[in-house]
Parts: sequence; C-alpha cells; structure tokens
Amino acid sequence: MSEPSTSLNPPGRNARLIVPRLLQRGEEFTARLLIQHPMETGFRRDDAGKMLPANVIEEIILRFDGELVFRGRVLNALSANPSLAVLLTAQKSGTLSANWRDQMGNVGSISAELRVAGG
Amino acid sequence: MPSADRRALLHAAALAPWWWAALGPFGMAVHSQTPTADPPLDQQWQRARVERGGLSLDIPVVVETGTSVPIVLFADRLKLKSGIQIERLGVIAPKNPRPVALDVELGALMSQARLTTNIRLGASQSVIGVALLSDGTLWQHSVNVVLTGSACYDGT
Amino acid sequence: MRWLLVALGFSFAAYFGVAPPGRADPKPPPAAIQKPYALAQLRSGASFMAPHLQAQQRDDDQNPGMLWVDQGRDLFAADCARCHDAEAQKRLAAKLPRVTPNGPVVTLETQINRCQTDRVKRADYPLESQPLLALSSYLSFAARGEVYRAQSDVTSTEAWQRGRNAFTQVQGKLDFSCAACHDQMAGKRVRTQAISQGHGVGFPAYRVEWQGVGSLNRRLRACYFGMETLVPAQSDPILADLALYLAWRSEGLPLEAPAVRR
Ligand code: HEC
Ligand code: HEC
Repeated sequence: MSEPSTSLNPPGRNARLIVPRLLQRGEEFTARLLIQHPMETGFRRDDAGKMLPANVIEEIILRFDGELVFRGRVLNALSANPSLAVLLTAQKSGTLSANWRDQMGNVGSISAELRVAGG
Repeated sequence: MPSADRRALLHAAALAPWWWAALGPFGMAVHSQTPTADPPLDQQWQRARVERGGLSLDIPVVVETGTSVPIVLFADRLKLKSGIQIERLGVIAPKNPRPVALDVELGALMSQARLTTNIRLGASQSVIGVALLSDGTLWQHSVNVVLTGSACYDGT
Repeated sequence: MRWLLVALGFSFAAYFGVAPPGRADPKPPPAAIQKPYALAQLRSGASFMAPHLQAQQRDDDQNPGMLWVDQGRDLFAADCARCHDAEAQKRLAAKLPRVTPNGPVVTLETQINRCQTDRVKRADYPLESQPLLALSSYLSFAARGEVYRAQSDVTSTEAWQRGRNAFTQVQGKLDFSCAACHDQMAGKRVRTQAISQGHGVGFPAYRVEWQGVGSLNRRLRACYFGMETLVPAQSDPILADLALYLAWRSEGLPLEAPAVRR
C-alpha cells in the first residue's frame, strides 16, 4: 500500500542535542545527539519494488569550542533516526556543536550552550 | 567464500584498515553461515595482538527485530598501560551487508571511552566490539545476538 | 505477514462463547454495556514491549518521536497558537475523537486539517504527511498524562456501534477479529510479537518498523493487513469509528504519545 508522498526532511528542526541545563565544574554528564535521518541502507525496496538508493550518514563530528569530542568515520549500521550518547566532563562554559554529512551530500548541524557554574 | 562476501569484507577492511586484524585473513575468521559454527576467533586475533582487554559490548542477546538494537561500547581506561590512549571504538557485524558497522574516533574531551547508540543487524550473528589503542593493540569483545523475527514490513 | 493460527492454539468456539460478534443491538441500553477491560485491568501497550523500547519511551531524550514533537511545536507556534493559548494546548488532543451530530467522527487529524483549511486558510495536509504528524505528535505530547473522557451517550451513537462491529467482526482469510487478538489474547504471542490490549493512547507513535512516527490510522491499517483482509483506505470513515470505539474502550488510561513501539 502506498502512502501519499511525504517529505523526509521537512523545513525546521531535524535534530536534538541534549545536555543538562546547568553543570558544576568537574561534573560528568551525558551529551546525546538525536538526528532525524532515514539511514537508507540501499537494501530496501519501495512499494513499487524499486530499490531505494542508499543514503546513510557518512560522518558525524562533535566538538566543544572547536576541540574534537568524537568523529564518527563509519556509521553504516546506525538505525534510522539515530541517537548517539557520550560522556563528557564539564570544565568550562562553551558551545557543543555537531555537524554531519550524508552520502547524498546533505549536511546538518546543531549546537547547544554548556553553562558551567563559575566557568 | 562467495566473492561478493569477500569483496564486502575487503571493502570493509579498506574503509577501516586498523580492523584487518579483527577481520582475520581476508575476513575468513568472522565469516560463517551459522553463528555457533564461528571458528575460534581468539587464535586469529592473538597473533595480531588482540586482547580481551578492557572492552565491553553491552547488547541484548535476543532481539525481536534487527532494525534498532541498543548497544553500549565501553573501553575501560583504568585497564590501560600508562601513556596509552584509546583512539577508536568500533563494531563489526560480519553478517550485515556492510560488515563494518561503526568506527568512531575519540577526541581528548570524552571523559570515558563510552558510546551508547542503536544499530541495525541483518541477521543473527556474533557482533564484535573493538577498541584500538594508541600502541596498536586491539581490544575486542563479541556477543552472539539472536534475532527472533525478521524486520518484515506490514504493508502500511 | 502471516499469522500462524495453528500455533496460536486459539479456539474460535471458545471465543464465540465469550463475546459473540455481529450486528450491534438496534437499541442498546447504554448503561448496561460493559467494557472488555475494567479500569483496573487496563494496561498500556508499552508494558507489552521489550525493555529497551520501554526505556526509550520513558526517556524523552532517547525517544525519536520527540523530533516530530519539536517540529510540531514550531509549526503550532507559527500557525495555530494565536487562537489556542498555552493552557488550551494541553487539552486539545484529549478531547478527540468526538462524535458530531450529523457528520463523521472528528479525530485529532481531521480537526487539525479543519483548522488548517478554515482558519489558517491553507491547503490541508495529507494524512501521514510530516507536518500533520508533527502537529498531532506535538498536541498529543502536550496532552500527555491527560485522560480521555467519552461522551456520555457515545454508546448509543451509530459511529460507536459501527466501531464496535468492526472490532468484533470476524473477517479475512484467517478468520480473525480485532477482539480475538486484543480482547482474548492480550499477553500471548503471535509469532514473536506480544499482543497488547490494543489501545490507541500511545499514538501518534514512533514505530521501529516504520522507522518513523505514524498515526493510529496507520496502525489500524497495519492490523487489517495482518488479518489478511481488505485494508481500508486512509480516508475510510470506519477507521475514525474504530478510533472512537477504542477511545471509549481505553477510557481511563493516560495519553502517552509519542509512544515507542517495535
Ligand atoms: C492476529 C492478531 C491481531 C489482530 C486480529 C489485530 N491486531 Fe492489533 N495488534 C496486533 C499486534 C501483534 C500489535 C502490535 C503489538 C501490540 O501492541 O499488540 C497490534 C497493535 C494494535 C494497536 C496498537 C497498540 C499499541 O499500544 O501500540 C491497536 C490500537 C490495535 N492493534 C488495534 C487493532 C484493531 C482495531 C484491529 C482490528 C481491525 C486489530 N488490532 C486486529 C495483533 C492483532
Ligand atoms: C483563527 C483561530 C484558529 C486558528 C488559527 C486555529 N484554530 Fe484550532 N480551533 C479554533 C476554534 C474556534 C476551535 C473550536 C471550534 C471547532 O472545533 O472547530 C478550534 C478547535 C481546535 C481543536 C479541537 C479542540 C476541541 O475541543 O475539539 C484542535 C485540536 C485545534 N483546533 C487545532 C488547531 C491547529 C493544529 C491549528 C493550526 C494548524 C489551529 N487549531 C489553528 C480556532 C483556531
């Protein structure tokens, strides 16, 4: 059965970067990135039986004030609408930013301000 | 091994050369038809300085579908020799069409070498978590995951 | 998808003995109609899911459905908030579905489109389109924890009776009814899937199988598909009638959208 065509990447927000509101210096916290993306594997067919072209996120870079937190170099098996969580330690206030790029060349980014008490 | 599979594994290794050891010669070690019949991986990996080390791969051993399987990869820095860092974390799913599932480079800012995410699995298989240390050592931990249902679509 | 009847060990004879399907009584005494589940027995679909899916639903930070909620919040602020203030937004979704005197059952989705065309004065959104799912997810999320209250006379309406008939009617190649699974077999398994009581309070929901958020309308069509019977079109009013019947049947369960389902 076919759905009416829907846009997969509507205008507006397509990601969340979640960090605690306020941190104490030295506190360990989770930063979680959630991206709306089909992570199309290239092994699925559409309703007409045609192969859907592969389009997975090829790279995700997370930085804090420009410094590398992590870089995803191969992300083949991430599920659709992936979520990635890592642990960081709050040393100072600053900007956490994520950038990503998929196989079709679409890019995305999101950032969040970290507020560290007294930092 | 069918040449397509072999090509996939060679391709995987080319994408992430540091995994050559984990994949074994031409990926033979991690390729087999049934998870239980996997050859003893340890022998292959010991030759390439593969250690069980401080890596844990936390993944459910039985899942209903492979479309989204929660995983936590954790490499314990307390188990490192001094002066050595954990550089990369990865996951190999030998029976996925693309066996290199994940390869993530860690920056200095991560307070622990821990990554939490969800991955796809195309079949029941032995999923291998790997950590690459700055001295070239690989830590690995594999978990046999059984898929009870296929990721079938319901027509809507 | 093929449901393995034999493996279920399910006896239709026993089922007929409990709750005979068929046409609704022409003049049912409203007070006498018993719900399949008493209030204390009601269990949300979440409790039948695997632990990791329950955990994903419990924690908004892990729930991919929240991406749709974010988009709906923005869209609502831009197009709708001037008429519906912050307090009112929390209740909109819990008031639907509702029977109207001479028209079809109004669902959250049809009402959003009514406001979109009559008040925002723009073309309506196709069912299951991203903006419509975003708006319905946001409003359902805003009403999370609220409890739907059925209209007092709902069981005497034709829409409710059509909904109940559709729910209890045996159909399809496998001779199933909705009730056979969701009233009689909740807690058991079909193949590898645990069967829930079949409530709609988690919708719109993020389904792993859909790799996205979908409406109750889509979930119901998926169940028709599973029964190997004619799948109603999205716009078929029977789906709204069923939504009305389901809302009455689950009255008392708090809304929990966007739920996470397999
Ligand atoms: C063969 C068994 C079967 C039949 C018949 C069936 N369903 Fe389902 N239904 C399922 C399964 C399996 C699911 C997914 C798991 C769950 O929630 O039970 C489901 C899910 C649902 C849900 C979502 C519950 C939730 O919390 O996510 C609703 C609502 C529902 N069904 C209603 C119906 C209606 C209405 C019909 C008749 C048109 C019907 N079902 C027929 C097996 C069935
Ligand atoms: C010009 C004012 C106006 C705008 C703009 C507007 N609405 Fe409404 N809305 C109303 C009024 C008046 C009602 C109650 C009458 C009715 O049900 O039609 C209503 C009813 C509703 C209801 C049902 C509440 C109930 O008690 O049944 C929902 C849901 C709703 N609107 C959603 C929306 C959404 C979503 C948008 C933006 C796409 C929107 N509205 C834009 C005026 C507006």
